[in-house]
Amino acid sequence: MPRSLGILRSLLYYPFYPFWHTFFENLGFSIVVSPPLSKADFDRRHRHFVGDICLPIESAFYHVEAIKDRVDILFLPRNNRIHRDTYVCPACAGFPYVVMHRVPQLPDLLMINLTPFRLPDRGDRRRLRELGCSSAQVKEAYRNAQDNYRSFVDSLPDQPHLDRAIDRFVAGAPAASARAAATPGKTGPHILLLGMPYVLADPFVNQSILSTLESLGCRVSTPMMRVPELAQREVMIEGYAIYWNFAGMSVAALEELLKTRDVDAVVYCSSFACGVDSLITPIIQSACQRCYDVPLCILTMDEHSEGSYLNVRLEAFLDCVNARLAQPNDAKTRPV
Amino acid sequence: MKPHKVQFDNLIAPGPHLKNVIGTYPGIGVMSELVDGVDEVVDFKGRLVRPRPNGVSTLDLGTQFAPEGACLPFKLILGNVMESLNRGANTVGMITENGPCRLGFYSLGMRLIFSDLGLGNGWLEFDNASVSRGYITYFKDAYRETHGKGLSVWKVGQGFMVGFIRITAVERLQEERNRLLAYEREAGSIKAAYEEGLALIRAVQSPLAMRGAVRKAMQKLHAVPIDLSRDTVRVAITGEVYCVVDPFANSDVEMRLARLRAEPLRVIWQVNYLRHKLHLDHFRKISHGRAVRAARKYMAEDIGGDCNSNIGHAILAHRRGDDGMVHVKPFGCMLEFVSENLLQKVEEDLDFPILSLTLDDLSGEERINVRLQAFVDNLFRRKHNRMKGGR
Repeated sequence: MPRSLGILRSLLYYPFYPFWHTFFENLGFSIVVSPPLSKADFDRRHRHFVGDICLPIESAFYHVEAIKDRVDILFLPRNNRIHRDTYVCPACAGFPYVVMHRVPQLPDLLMINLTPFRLPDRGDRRRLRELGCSSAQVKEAYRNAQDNYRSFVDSLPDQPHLDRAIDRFVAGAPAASARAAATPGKTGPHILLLGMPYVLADPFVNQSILSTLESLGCRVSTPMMRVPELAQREVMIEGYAIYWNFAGMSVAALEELLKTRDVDAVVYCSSFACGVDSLITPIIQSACQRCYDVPLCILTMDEHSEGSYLNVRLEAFLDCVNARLAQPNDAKTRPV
Repeated sequence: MKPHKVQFDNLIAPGPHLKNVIGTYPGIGVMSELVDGVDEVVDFKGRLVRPRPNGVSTLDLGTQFAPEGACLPFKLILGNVMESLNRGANTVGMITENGPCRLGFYSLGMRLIFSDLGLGNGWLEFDNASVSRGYITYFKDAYRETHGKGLSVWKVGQGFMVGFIRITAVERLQEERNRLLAYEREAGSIKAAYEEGLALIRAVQSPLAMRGAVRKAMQKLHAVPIDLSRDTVRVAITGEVYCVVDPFANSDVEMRLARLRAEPLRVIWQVNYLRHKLHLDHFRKISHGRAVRAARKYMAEDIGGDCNSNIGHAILAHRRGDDGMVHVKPFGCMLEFVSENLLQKVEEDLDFPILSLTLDDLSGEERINVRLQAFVDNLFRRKHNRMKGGR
């Protein structure tokens, strides 16, 4: 009977789950992923923490509660740094410790730094050895998982829905079917949807913004489609290092599309009280509005936002964008 | 792996020519004492705008232009810098960092805001990593352009030494003031003596005379009549460094506590922070290494900022026998979210009362007053119960 290992369907699940899946499967765990969150479940939650924090982390506490009684081991990624110089948001990095100290009746916790970019270090390997995985096994599982993750990243450029891409990849669907399942060529404006991957890929957190945009006839690009390789690299802008790598990915994707003029409008999906977004949005704002004159819409998500709020704002925004596109090239002005 | 470079055209407006540099810096706590000390030795010849202390107008200005979700220190620093720019400065020098905290983005964020407003400004960052980015070279070049002669590194070092001696003296005086505040017989007498002592320290010209000036200032404080029989509680103050050291940001939490007959014991000092930032205390031996070590039971790794040290300070304050702790943090701080939650655990484990005060641009004075009153009342009751032998 293999031991069951719980993984939360939130935060770093979205960029890294295919890697974790192969890694833990190779080590002989049976993996349980927490179910997707619904508004009704979320309203019934117990608040295990104090203070003000963004919706993705708040919902991650719910995922812990949903899964903790069903598994033997709970995996909480302890990723302060993704790479040598890049960090995740500090609240995200401290989240495992808050869970550890605040949530009662937890199963055995596995808190290790596990990314596709670095072999688990000695301390993490020791922790895995306590669970019965030898160092050689870990290294082999790491190599297999890394190969698998690379092929997953290669399949990403066609699929804006990261959550569906993960499900499809884990189910073992070949890349060709992924391409077929991707949205057919839409004729509407090309929208660049920016934000943290765990906001853009979680339909609960972003109120299904991707589906809404697609139903309004847009072609959508996300940073994970455009620059997934930057998940492990620091991005420099004007001599400043953007040391939060997911924020850096947004800025790099924006630059790539603005330079090629391959984008009609930009939507930034941020979450309320997100510290990273609060200082990244000025960069996006200045670049879009002052430097390149591209329409920009900044949406802020929290637990009170409703689907209709999103619909109204996006429809109004897209009306502006379409009106602007209909104008002849030389008469384009900044939308109001 | 090399960083990926991103370039937007005209994102940041260019700064002034080196010839026209007039510098300023964000006025935080006792920062001016340090810069004045450097100024005395190096002599900027009036090419330095001394920032005004923070006030309501600073906060209004900062809130008007800052992004909505930015933290209170960002808004206050932005407002403070804008006030100095309005008074003629054109180059800002400030501390930054390369860690997970938002502090590293302050300068970029502010430069973008100024560029959006059509202002071009030069910036200088004092960073853990930016010695190589050449701030020493910049400083020397600007000095040569403005003064017509070179500047030796020796002289700058001497300037910083004088500045550090002065800032240390001022903070020692503040520590002594905090110790006595709760016992003063006549309201405001300690503060008046402190102001006199501060003037003595500011008047000192040479580092050698500083020791005597500090002694005289301390004597002034000790000459104030105090009532040692008074019943007081001891409250440690910790939190995000800006919120602790700036009396405007925390609505002068020290004075408020003292008025409630609680001895405010500040554990975070700006001189330690600056020393760390300027590589004089690289491994934080002096500043908060001890606190970070004490927090290891709760946080196995250092996630940056003041998060770990705050948890450690709570444990150290409990060991020292303090009655409680006040933890001040700005709204939306990612690191303090973690420490606030872990402090609750520390509170349960050690039976040590901790009050977390969240500060932002909308928080009123009365809210802080009411919460402090309730907290201090609680501490007194606990103390009296303990003295009676119960819990």
